Amino acid sequence: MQAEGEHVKEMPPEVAKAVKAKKAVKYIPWQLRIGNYMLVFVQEKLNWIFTPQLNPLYFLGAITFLLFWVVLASGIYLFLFYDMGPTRAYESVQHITENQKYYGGIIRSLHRYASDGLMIVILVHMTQVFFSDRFRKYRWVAWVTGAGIIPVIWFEGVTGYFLPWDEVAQVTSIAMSQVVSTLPISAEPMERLFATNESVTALLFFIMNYLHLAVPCLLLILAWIHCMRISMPLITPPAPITWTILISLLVLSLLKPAVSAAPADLSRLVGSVSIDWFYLGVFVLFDKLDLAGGHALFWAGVGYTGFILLPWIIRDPRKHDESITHVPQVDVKVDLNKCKGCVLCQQACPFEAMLLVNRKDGRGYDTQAEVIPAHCSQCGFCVNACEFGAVSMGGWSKGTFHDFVTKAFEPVPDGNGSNRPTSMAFICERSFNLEGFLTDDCMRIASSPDVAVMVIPCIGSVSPSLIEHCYEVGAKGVMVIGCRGLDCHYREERRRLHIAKEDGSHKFLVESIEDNRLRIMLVSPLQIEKIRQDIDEFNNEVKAGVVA
Amino acid sequence: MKERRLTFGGVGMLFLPTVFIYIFSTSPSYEFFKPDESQLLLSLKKRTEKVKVCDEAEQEAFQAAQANVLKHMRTQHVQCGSRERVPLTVKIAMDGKEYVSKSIEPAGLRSDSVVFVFEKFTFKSGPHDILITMKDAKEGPEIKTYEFREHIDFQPRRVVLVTYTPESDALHIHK
Repeated sequence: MQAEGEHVKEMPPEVAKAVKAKKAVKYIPWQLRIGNYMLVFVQEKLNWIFTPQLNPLYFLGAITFLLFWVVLASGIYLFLFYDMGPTRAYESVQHITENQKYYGGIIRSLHRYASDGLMIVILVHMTQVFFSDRFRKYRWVAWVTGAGIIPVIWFEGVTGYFLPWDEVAQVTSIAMSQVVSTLPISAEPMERLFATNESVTALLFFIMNYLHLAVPCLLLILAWIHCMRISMPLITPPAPITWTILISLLVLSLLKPAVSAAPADLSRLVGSVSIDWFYLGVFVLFDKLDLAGGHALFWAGVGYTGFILLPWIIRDPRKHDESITHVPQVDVKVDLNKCKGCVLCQQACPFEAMLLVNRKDGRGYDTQAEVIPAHCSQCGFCVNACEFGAVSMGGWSKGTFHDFVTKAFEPVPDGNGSNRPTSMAFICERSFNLEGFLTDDCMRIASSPDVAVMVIPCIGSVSPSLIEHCYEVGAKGVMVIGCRGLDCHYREERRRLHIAKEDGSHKFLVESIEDNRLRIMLVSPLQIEKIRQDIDEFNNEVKAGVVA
Repeated sequence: MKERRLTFGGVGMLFLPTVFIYIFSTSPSYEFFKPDESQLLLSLKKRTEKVKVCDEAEQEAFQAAQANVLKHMRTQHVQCGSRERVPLTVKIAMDGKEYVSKSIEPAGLRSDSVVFVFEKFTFKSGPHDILITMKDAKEGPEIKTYEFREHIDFQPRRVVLVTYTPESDALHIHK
């Protein structure tokens, strides 16, 4: 391992090069940039309306879970009263809808509308994840399982629309059977099942009903895999969002109760019928374009495969060693000579990339830390979390961070004496476009030259001891500048700052730090001028001795 | 960091997807079939003839072999050589115009199972002359040709299903 402080002596050449060329290194692939800008714009507007703490765009995954629980709970109730068979199915659903109007009927409506909401939220969630570039590399498992969840939920919806056996069920099952018949899975065309009223048997209802019940189990497994590489996944939205969504669904159910169409009759063609466009719109597309044949299915399969493979199709615009951060983002290493096998690095990791395994080197500790490179996002959280300097990234460990700060506060002689900085700013490289923001040597902020700067992958890696070290070497104030709300690319920044203040954990930004000397700025990437002003304002306060 | 708050505007925004659901969960209606359309379905399964019919010597050899087989294990059908069956040719014509003409292979990896037929076409309601012919694709005098010829007055939105049953050994309208 390289000696601590060695990297401080010279600036990583790519940083200086990028800034001198007045062109920040791009971390968003070109295919996503317009969408990313639009997404940031929308998030910014919603942050203004909701505040970042309640912006629903930050809780789309959690809202999906909420709607799933609503669908599941209401579905269990409907199952209790559902009767299988061509005539009995329709009658039993009518019984729930009309004879139990103010409970069963509402529950049926909740079941339907929450399912619709589920489809909307999942599609928006996927769009957000895609354009915020959170689907590649160490996130591919979440992307692939998320992409798998969409057709499973759609299939669940289609089997649900079969069960009441009304005209909607009739067109749905005939269209679905046309599609299935094109697949080489059965010699007998599935369409024959729906040739006559007599061919639709109670057994078919039994199969569809239990398929409708079994798919949620598959969904839960997929959801578990979806979240398994994320530590502390957000699966519950904040209470105000939860209640507003539940009340809105209830209001919708009262205003427009879900009802069945006329009973299915396979001896007659279905004319005009109200359909749920979220689930059955695809059949209209098939009907309009006459796409029920194998070609459509083939191309749909090709398109879907491409969609799943997007994490490998869209490439990182940066080379492995190209970074705007002072900390090189490369593979994390653990120095077993220093590792005590505590849980600090594991707790800090947002992607379950740190494992504690049985000690292999014979030292007297039970466990040792081990990195799973494929899971690692190179966010640097673990580097500063390790109290013993055992975890390093590109040779940077906790001590190196401290040395960097020490170096930054060494007086540099100039013509007028000393230009020692007054404040220290830790800036997340992704929080806003740093183009033209720093001085040419990347050590100061261009508009406030007496603010020393350290650009890091994420402010979640700033530890209390690092901040205290800033004070020790002479900083009168410290700014930690990162992303607003849950914009953090590594998810954890805000939570780490937040948890630290609530539970008093010694690892993160603790209450012991004098609050008025520490300014946490969670900024919008669209308001760079305001960031400059805020930095300048805080630095002036520091210089004037307003904060001390 | 600002206090978290949910304003009336925020609540209104959260209700927006509900409005979206209110509209698109049932609207707009879609017309799958026009009021003056009808449909003819041909749905059946039929076992066609074998490609190779056993000659007398083969039949005798088969019977002799069966004598050595336990009684409950004996087959009812004479087997010799390939089990492959011939395809089924189906033609559907309406008002003298042929709409479907195809040869359908028997199911199974060895083409030794039944032939499944499912054909449908949609047309304007009213009286139409329907002619459906079906025969095993093997040529020869012993091959039976099935013919269904009817003048049908198709009521609007009516689905007429023509099928085949081994009992009647004929094509007929499903009642």
